[in-house]
Amino acid sequence: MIEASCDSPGQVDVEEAREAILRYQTGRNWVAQVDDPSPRSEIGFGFDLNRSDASAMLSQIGLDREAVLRGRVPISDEQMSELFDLTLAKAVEWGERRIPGFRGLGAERQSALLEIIVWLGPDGCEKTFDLLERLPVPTACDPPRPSPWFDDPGAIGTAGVPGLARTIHGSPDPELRAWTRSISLLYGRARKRYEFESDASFARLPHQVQAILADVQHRSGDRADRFWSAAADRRWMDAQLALRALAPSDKPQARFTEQADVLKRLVQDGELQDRRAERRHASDPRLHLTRQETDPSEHSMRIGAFRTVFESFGVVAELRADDPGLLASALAILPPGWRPVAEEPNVQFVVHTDGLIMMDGGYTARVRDRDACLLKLGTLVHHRVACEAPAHTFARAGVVAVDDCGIVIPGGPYTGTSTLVEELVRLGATYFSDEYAVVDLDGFVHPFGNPLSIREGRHGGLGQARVVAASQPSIHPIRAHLVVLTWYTRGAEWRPTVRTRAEGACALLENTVTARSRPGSALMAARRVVDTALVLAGERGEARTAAEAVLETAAAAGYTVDRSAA
Amino acid sequence: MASPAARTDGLITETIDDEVVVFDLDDDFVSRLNRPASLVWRYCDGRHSIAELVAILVEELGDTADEDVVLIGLDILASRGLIVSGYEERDAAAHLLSHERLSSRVGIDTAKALAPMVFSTWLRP
Repeated sequence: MIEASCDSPGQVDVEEAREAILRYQTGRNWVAQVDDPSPRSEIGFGFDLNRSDASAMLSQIGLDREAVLRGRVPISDEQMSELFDLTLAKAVEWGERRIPGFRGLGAERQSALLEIIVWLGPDGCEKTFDLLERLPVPTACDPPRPSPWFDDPGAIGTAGVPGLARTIHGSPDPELRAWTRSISLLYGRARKRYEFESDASFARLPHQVQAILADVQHRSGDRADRFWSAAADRRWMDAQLALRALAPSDKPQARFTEQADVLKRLVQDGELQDRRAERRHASDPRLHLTRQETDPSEHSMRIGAFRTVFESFGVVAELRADDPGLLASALAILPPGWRPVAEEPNVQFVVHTDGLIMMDGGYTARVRDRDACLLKLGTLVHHRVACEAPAHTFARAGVVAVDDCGIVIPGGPYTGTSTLVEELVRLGATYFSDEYAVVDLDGFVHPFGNPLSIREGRHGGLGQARVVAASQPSIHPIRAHLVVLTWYTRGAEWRPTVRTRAEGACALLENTVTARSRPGSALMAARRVVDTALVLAGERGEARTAAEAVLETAAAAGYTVDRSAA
Repeated sequence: MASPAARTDGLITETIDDEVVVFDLDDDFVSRLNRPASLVWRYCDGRHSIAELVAILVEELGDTADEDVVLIGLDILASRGLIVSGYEERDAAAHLLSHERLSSRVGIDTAKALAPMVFSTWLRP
């Protein structure tokens, strides 16, 4: 039986445990699939949606487990906190019931145990503690010693690992001994590499960073050169970007992404000094460029010296360039409505005068022509914002407005959407976008009014950006009252038929950028758009004729354009 | 005879007016079930026999609905992986025969409106 120290009455310091457990725990508003330690669905502060009491616990905060698991509903920040409190309360209850003398433990040990119990849940705990009880491991009834994992993070180094090994030295279990040997080896290698490339002491790093370095050393080998270079130089924000680049694209919540979040928080909390911050405040504004890159496979270390951080639809991104004029030109391709902010970016774009484009530290493209390069960069930035905007859903579509009637024309590049939008605007409609219908949580469509870009030539080209003189973009969101499903056929006459709203929703869903990654919210957004809309569908010939017909339909419903604006 | 049961795992559904949009998380297909197909699918709960499904459709769609309508719907739903038990999709000849009987009985235009239909699209990455 696992026992705590004997017979000492005490308290359970729930607040301290809460602070300790949540300190480096990221919160998720939407369900995520994680692989640590095994595949599971999580939400909030690491809440396992597959635990046996998940339904009951979620219903206490007003959520349906199925809806959450399917990605249909998020958890708010308040609900996240409330759910964690419920989870922690259950963990305390389990600890008090299962571990004799639990109350008599010091706060640090209680916190350590509670973290395990919270993480594993009641079912996992039963299995794990059963296993531990069968192992002949020295228990917490041994005379207390300072814990290297909690008491002095700055001095852990690799001493903590031999300390751990000493703790279980007497174990006859060969697997346990082998495990500690391999952990010692990993930490040793990480320490050697770090101190070889750096003038800093590995032992002085917070133990979480030591663990990250050891883990990257173990998992990534030569793929992690960029990370190691940044870490050795103590450019921790670059190191966290490098970690994100290591995460597989099909598993966005992989371990490296979570470790990147830990690094970022440590910098923000002041426990890690980021040398980029030091240099940024130095009189010389130029940032550290490590080496010249000419080969696409070696681009990872190029960082532009001139930067801006902006926010667009809730996404905070950094844009860097190696030339101030290029940066100024690049600002023109940012998503409409962007604003400069002083927050830490989650996304990084870099553009160079030689046409190199990088995203999150990885090579993305090289486009020699400057205008085409900026166009490509714009496409990448817009798409990334569309993928990551937390409170808006982006569907590829053209959008115009006539009075209070939003007209949404689903369709991606080379579907004739831009041409039809251009003609509608020429005839007096208000321009919203020829690229995306940006839908908020209430179903309103927001302007995304870049200059119209008519894609001429073959597929795969970037298209010619052509600013339409009459395209005064709207600044107010609008409800859609007309959804037009159309496609170009040479010589066709526009004879649309009324379709069901479900058909309109499907057309929007097919064009929604995040339909696969966030199906629940994508479907809800499509639903909200068509809720107030008439759906028409039919093939069209020339855009001018179709545009006039669309406006006649709007006029029949009482919405008319101001022809003087055309 | 077993009662057909609709699949629920791995699906997100939304009812819009009389139709149902089904998002299959397993293979990234989006399907739109027209009104007759939606009715058949909604009552495939493992408790309604085919005869009971026919009665429901008659009540909802009128006397022109019959067993052929239900079987066409079940065939299509099964072919899309939306029926998990209680019904095996028939072969193409039997399915076609149901369509022909329906058209002969009610006329082509009414048959078009009455026949369960499922329109599916694969969401590109």
